Amino acid sequence: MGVVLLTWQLITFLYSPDYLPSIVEIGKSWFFHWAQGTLFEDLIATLTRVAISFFLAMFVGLLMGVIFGTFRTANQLFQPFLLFFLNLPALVTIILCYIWIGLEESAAILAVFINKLPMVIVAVREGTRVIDTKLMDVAKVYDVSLTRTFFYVYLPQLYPFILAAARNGLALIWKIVLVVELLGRSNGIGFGLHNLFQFFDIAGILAYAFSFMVIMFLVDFLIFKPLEKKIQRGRDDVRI
Amino acid sequence: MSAYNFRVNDIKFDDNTVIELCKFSIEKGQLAALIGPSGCGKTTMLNIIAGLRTFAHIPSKPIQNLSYIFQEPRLIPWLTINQNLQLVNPKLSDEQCDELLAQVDLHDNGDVFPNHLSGGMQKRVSIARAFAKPPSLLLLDEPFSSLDQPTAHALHELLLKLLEKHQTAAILVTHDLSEAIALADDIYFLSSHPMNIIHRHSISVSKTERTTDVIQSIVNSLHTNNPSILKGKA
Repeated sequence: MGVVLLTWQLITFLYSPDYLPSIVEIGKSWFFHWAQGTLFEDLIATLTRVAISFFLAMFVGLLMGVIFGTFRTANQLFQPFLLFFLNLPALVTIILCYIWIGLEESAAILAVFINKLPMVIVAVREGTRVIDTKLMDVAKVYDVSLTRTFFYVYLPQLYPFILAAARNGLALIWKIVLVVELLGRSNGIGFGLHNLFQFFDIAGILAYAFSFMVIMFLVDFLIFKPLEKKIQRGRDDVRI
Repeated sequence: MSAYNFRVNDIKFDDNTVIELCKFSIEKGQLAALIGPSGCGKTTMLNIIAGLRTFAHIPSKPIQNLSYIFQEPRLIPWLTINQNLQLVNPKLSDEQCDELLAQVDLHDNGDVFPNHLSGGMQKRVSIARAFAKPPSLLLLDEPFSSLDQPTAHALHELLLKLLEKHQTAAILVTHDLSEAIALADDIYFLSSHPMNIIHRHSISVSKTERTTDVIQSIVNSLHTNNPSILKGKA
């Protein structure tokens, strides 16, 4: 990472190209927008949208994935819809949501949600296909209650699939949220980028983008990595 | 009237009769061994008794306090040993788990995950789990088949001790005649394709007196009297 930044700085120092600001310029721009308070406000707005649509999609997707994975008829019935939404371009969903619902927050969230949901469903459904019936039999024989069976025997078998869906999902969601904001919101990173684009403020654009990437990096490092470690416990012979 | 009467008949898979008739009974605190060639339907039989497989014509009365020791330990990998025991009996405190583990000679292992234990130790945990809620009926599906002799012997003794203590009735499925003789009160010999009981042998020698020599002499006499009985032929 350090090498990349150093090389970048070196290249811009030697050639000073018009369209590639140096790391220092990006840093200056970052401080400027941060001091103004707009960057912080935009970050919060975008993060809120990402969080809401992420948790909604994960929760509903988990529920539907389990249902589709467990009941064949439900799966067959909804398979065409699932394929339809999997292949529906994100941009189309966003535009239609804005047209049908209006330029509102709910439309923005719904558009992101619809884009993410099918992927969670598919990931969880694949997980239910490898559920170990031998372990389920243990729970059944020993008369373990349904709730406890679900949370201690069934759901943990899906954790690796859920985690993968969450990781990929977050990366996808924040990119879609930016498009949603660019097209129809008056705050957020996407809206900020739109303004900077009008001024050809490349340093500003990169400062905005990097801020959000750093946050996503932190989320991965502080939330997903420890979660992964916790989930991995007991699952293979290698001590972590 | 015996404590448990079992009758499993006319079990068909794809029009092939797998189990024709298997009828036997067990008293409290006694162990019945079912011995027969592999693939004869022994495990299916246990699964039917456990309610894991249901057939319309077999009345499935759920047996209260049933425990099942499977061929593999089948511990839940992401739960610690104590959590595995508490899954079966949520009322167990950590101290009670420790006591239970001490009974199967596992000390200070409550907080580790199953994959950090050897196969023999995992088997011990699965025995401890079977007694986490003292069962009235215990099913055993070739539980000692993958273990070395000394480990298997130690576990035999342990099992007999626990069965005696809790007055548990048990059904052991095995293909090892010596093992059946070491543990059982009654041995049922099974035929295959379809499965029937072809011979019943009761052992009168007390379980504590079944030394290797005694077991070997019973094996020999069974072989002399019924040479092909282990192959599933009367």
